[in-house]
Amino acid sequence: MPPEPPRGRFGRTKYHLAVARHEPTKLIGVLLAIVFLYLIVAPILSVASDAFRVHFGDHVHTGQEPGAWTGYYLWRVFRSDVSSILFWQPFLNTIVIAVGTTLFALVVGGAMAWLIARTDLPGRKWFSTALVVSYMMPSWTFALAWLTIFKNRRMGGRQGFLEAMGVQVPDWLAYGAFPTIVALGLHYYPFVLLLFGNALRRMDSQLEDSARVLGARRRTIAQRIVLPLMLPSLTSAVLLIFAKILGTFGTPYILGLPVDFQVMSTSLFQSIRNRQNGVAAVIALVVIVVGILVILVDSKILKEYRRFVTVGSKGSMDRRTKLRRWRMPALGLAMTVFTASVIIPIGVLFLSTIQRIPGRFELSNFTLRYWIGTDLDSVAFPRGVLVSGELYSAMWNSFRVVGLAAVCCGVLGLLVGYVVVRTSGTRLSSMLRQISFLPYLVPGIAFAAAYLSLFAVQRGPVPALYGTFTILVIVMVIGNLPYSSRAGISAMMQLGREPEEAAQVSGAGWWRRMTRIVTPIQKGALVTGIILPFISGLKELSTVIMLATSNTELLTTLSVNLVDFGYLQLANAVVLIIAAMAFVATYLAQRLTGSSLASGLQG
Amino acid sequence: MYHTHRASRRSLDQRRAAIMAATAVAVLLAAACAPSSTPQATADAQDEQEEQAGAAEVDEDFDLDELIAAAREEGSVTVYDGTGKIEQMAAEFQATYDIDATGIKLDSSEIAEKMTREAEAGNVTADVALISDVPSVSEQLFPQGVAENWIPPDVADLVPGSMLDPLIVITDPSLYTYNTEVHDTCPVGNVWALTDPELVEPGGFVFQDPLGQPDYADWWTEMSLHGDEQLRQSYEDLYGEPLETEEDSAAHEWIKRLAQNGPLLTKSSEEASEAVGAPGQSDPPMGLMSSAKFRNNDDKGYVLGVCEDMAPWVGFAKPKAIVMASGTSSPNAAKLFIHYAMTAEGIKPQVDDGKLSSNPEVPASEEDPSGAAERADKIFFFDNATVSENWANRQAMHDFWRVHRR
Repeated sequence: MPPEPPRGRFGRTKYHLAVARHEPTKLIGVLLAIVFLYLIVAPILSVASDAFRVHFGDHVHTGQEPGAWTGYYLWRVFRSDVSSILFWQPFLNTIVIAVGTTLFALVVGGAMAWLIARTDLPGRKWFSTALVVSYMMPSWTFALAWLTIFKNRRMGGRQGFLEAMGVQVPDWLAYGAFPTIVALGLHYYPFVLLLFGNALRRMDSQLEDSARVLGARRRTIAQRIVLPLMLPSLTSAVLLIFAKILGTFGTPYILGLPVDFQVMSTSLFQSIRNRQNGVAAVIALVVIVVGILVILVDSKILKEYRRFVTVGSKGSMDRRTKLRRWRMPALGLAMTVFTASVIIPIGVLFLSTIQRIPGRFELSNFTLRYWIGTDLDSVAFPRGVLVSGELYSAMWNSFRVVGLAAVCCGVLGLLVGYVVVRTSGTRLSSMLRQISFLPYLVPGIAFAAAYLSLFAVQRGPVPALYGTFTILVIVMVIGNLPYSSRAGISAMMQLGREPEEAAQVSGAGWWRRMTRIVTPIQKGALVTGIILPFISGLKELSTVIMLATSNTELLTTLSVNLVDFGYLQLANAVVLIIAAMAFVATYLAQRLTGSSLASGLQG
Repeated sequence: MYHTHRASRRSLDQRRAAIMAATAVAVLLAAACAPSSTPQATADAQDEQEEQAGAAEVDEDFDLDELIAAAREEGSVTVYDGTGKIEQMAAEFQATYDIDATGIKLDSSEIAEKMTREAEAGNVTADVALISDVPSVSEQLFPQGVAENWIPPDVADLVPGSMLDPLIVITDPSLYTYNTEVHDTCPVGNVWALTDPELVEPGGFVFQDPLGQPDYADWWTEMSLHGDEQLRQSYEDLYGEPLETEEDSAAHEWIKRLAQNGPLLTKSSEEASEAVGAPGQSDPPMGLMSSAKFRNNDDKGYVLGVCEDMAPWVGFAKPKAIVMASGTSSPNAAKLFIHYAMTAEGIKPQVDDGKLSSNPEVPASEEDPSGAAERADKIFFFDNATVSENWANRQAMHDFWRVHRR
């Protein structure tokens, strides 16, 4: 029991200060909220206001002065003659893709997570690292790989692999919803693997044992014990995937165009390209609103199932299910997933970097010159990627910017998680929880443009950061915060107050508790919260080109420039290097910290 | 006990509703002052627009040496363009004039967005921009005072009058294309054939998704304004009877029939070139693609050929404007770069890709594999005079396409 608050104004303030020093959770929460209002809510409002204001040059359509309030863009998207083509059909398609991909990723990722975390699958440790690789490649590589195999005559050009073998590939298999779902699902299932796997590993199997001793049946145990315990991590994964799909552009566009399969992000892209910013803002708003609805459903579910603490101060035990005669089939299944999600896309991409002329399978056509050659006949880039200085300076730049952003992001995410869980039930908690997820829903280009406005001049105490290294880091931290804050929240939910209270009783201050107790226990979550932003930051493009003013070459901009020069082999080699860099960083992080994504699943 | 709980619950709900309402109001208020790409409504916006429209005046007392000296004092210039060739141009500019130059590749919509926001904030980094979305330059960037037109006086008399406001630096030809491995000559010789399922089957003609960029819609508008007669003539040549249509123009009728004939669309011009030109095909489609794609014949072993006898045109040339930022801190360096881009040495990296300089004294490149320059008289060119119609019709054109594509 704290002592009776002293009387008098000064005494009360002093008391509150003292409390804040020992229990600054609320204070930190309020500070975070203020920062987020400026860095997240303000840019989103600016995007939102674009949907209701007449843009310059649009007075011919609206009959209003530029800047006036208007419902024209809403009318055009929702009610006009073309609204079904422009919005409603793409909207339905988007929902189909988002639901399909999420289910696909849940099934694949959930099965893999269980096999790795709770069974004696051979090579568990290896799989836990290897399977995550599919998230390290840009999602369009899966579309590319898909077309290489399933492409049919409808598209012209080189024959697909199956067609070359004489197999007739139907359109539904080659283009449209089905391949999009599979390609995106194979790209995003590592989310489930990571988050769900982490939670599974940390679940105390004594809980299952107790239930079994009390005579509960397997199904009851699954329904009443395992599922509720796993729910936070599952909903986190579902949310991350579902929301990402809403705005994903590359894959649905590549696989959808041949059969006119349009999604919201294609409409968005077309509007931005054609300088129809009002329509683009309306569609972006719909993405944000759908995302918010999903967040609300998510927090509703979490409220129904009360939180359960899986990491207490008591000892825990985890025991693996023996697969026995299912061991080999399970291994086969894991290998199949690995092949489909990692080997094939990487293989297709790698093959494209060692052929002089793409698609010609003759020995003379194969070469390593795009990797290590020194006399390429290209003017602007005469050396293979591995022997040119440009690659290494781009790598260093990427590493600096993205690495710094990822570390900030991880720490911030853990703090958000801590505050959200410790102040649970308050308005502050749910506000932080929801705001920290919003950046995920805003299309990168719109966010970056809003940042440009926000930081181009000094506003109050905030200096003009536009064009500096700092703003790139800030926008990457904010853009990737959803990963870290979700990881932080779901990990903190499983950590009871007891360990911290024990320390507090023995006189440890807040800082000491954070650094000596919370952070070490949450090391796995922290590493996940750093690595996921790192991987996604390495692949980031639109925010970088919008906000960097000098030609600070990052790996992604290097790759895009190479495509533009027509050096596709070199460009794809750089993409492979991005994936390799993400992989090496992940691997080193887990080696150095001794816990992590992979052994985060492993124990 | 139960009732009290319910009651307190209800009052909580009411409070929550009140908070939500208050939040909604706050959000609206904040939105009103949030930074945005839309301008505030001002009474003089329209005046400004009229003032800017006549901005294409030529500097009479121009001296290149003075400009170079002034530019050197400013020290640096940053240039944006939609092609990576800008890096090469900037490097060569720097070598020529000893002025630090940075070339950055950015999509034209991104350039416009970036310049607008930089200008609003008064923190300008882009000094010069080459923008392929010409209507957005005259309808958004100029009237908003974001960018301005500057014509190097020594080329003012050379460049055709239809390319001065805004100043066009190059035009980018797109050409009708066929697969030379399967066909000896282009399978059809008339654009109307592309719309006829008996002559070109659905999927037999491929080009970049016209909704994915403004180029095609602008081309269609230009064609409806300036190409009606030729299109009607070609129709009569093919079918032996005059075109009868209820649409606004022959171009509209052509677009409608084209959309209905189910052409194959791709994400990029590059993919279109693969569909047409990849070797080893039995029934390759025809296509429409940028002249730069013809270098794939050498680089990737493609078999692309230009449909030389296509009537009434073998393709169209999309203009690209060059402008300087109004708020630039190095106006002389910016002008010098614009001057440089109008010379043969300056624009060479782009001309080598089959682009055509708007300065008729710049020779065609021998490296251009499409030979677009030799066919310039059979290419459809845009007229700047109708650039605002392009802008106004863009959305309608896209909708027209969307509706008939079904």
